Amino acid sequence: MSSGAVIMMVLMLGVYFGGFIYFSLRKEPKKRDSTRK
Amino acid sequence: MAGQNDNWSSRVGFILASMGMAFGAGNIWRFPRVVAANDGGPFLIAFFVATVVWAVPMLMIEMIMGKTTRQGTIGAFKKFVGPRSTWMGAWIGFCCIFIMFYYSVVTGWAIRYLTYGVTGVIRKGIDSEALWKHFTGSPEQTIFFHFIAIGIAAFIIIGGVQKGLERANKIIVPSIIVLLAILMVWVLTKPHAVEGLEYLFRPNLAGLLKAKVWLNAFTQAAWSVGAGWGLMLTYAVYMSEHDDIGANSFVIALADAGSSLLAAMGILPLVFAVSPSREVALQALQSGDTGLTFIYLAKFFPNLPAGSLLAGLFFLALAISALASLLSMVELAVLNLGDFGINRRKAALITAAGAFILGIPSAWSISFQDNQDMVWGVGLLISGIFFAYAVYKNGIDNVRGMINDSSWIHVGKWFNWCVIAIPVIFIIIFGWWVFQAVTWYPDSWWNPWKKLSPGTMVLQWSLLIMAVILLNKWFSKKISLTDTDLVDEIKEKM
Repeated sequence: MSSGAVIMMVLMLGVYFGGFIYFSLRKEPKKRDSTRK
Repeated sequence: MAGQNDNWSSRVGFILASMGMAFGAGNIWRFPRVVAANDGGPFLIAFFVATVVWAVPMLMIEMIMGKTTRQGTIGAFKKFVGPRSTWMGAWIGFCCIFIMFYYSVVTGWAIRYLTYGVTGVIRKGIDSEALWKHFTGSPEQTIFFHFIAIGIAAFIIIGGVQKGLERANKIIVPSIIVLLAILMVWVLTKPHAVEGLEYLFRPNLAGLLKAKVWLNAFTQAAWSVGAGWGLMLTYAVYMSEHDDIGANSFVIALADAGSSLLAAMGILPLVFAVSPSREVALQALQSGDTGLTFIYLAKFFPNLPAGSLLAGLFFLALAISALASLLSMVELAVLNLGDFGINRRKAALITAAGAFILGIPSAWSISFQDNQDMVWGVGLLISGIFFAYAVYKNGIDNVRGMINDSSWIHVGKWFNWCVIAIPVIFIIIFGWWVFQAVTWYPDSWWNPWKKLSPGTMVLQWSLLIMAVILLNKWFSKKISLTDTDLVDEIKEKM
């Protein structure tokens, strides 16, 4: 594989699965701030 | 109407069920083909943008409507938008139900090919084109497997939300991921497979300047994630009070996009590994969804060591992913019927019987199935517009406030811009599809009896629109209201 394709693969896997993991790890905030709209 | 005991047991259960809803046959047989035809790397970037701009806000809108109204598409529009807009929910529901009729047939095809793989019919030297034509030309077979597909779906749905839907998806979704991962790792050990990866991730960034790449990316995002179908609204009805909307919308959309990427990382190397030459591989990728899956891959799977086993695993992944999406469509119909006072078991049986009978024309004729796929597939974009209208009617900032009150992340002003962009995106994608259809049939695009003409789309949509508008009062009168008037409570707090 060309280095360009390898970089693209790492980048895309990072963006798709990194985003998935980041949002999966969000927890319910203990105290909701109702003014944050 | 959802009962109090019909909630998801956990966040994981809800996310897995939603992933099952979103990840269907299209992710396996369409995504790899579309990404290959649209410059690879640039398409993946455009698809990510489309997922965030179109799919994520649409999932949020559906979730807030389902979670606050606790009713199916028809009741949700009556309650969230107003009795005069009940017909919009009916359009969304029927559009999805019409898709269910032929989607059950497609699930049946995948189950049939799973049996071909397991029983060794897919072997070296097989005339896969003749096998496909023989199967699709034998209505007794296509109808039988359509019956099996809708029967399994109804059986699971009768089990209820936790014991049926959630339990099934807890098995199905991890199985799909594991099967795709096995397929990918296995294939990548074969000669020429890496060429497929190179083709998938080719970094031709000039492709980002092509309109075709962006149009295909937004179309794929609109269909793939299942946003705007009413399915997420249906599943959101079973969320518990404290469940999150913001983060879960991102999780579901990115899980669907990531699984599509995983599928492409298995399928494209597979096509290159099993093809006698690069030219044949590229030709296969242009042979359409069913052509690639049921003719091309079935023909060349046996060229690989243990190819029959590999074929079995591939068609198992295809069959269960199609089944998981079919489950969500059946659930949408069952929930709507429940809102009219029909109990779950009876509603599931009515849905299964109706889907079986009305799916027979698609099982009988592949041309009819193609027609329905085009008409109601593009019709989903209209459903998306109705969801956007629901937000405009309540005020974009108000709805964003409602979403934030139910979210573990802060949804910022970007949401407003995405919702404002929905009609613009709709007009561009819809116009592009109509333009394409006109170029396919320059002399007869207006003819409603042509299989893929804009004329047939307009005729069938008009009939449905007229029917649901005429029945608006009846829908509005017959629908049962939920006990808790959550929408009003939340709106009062605004």
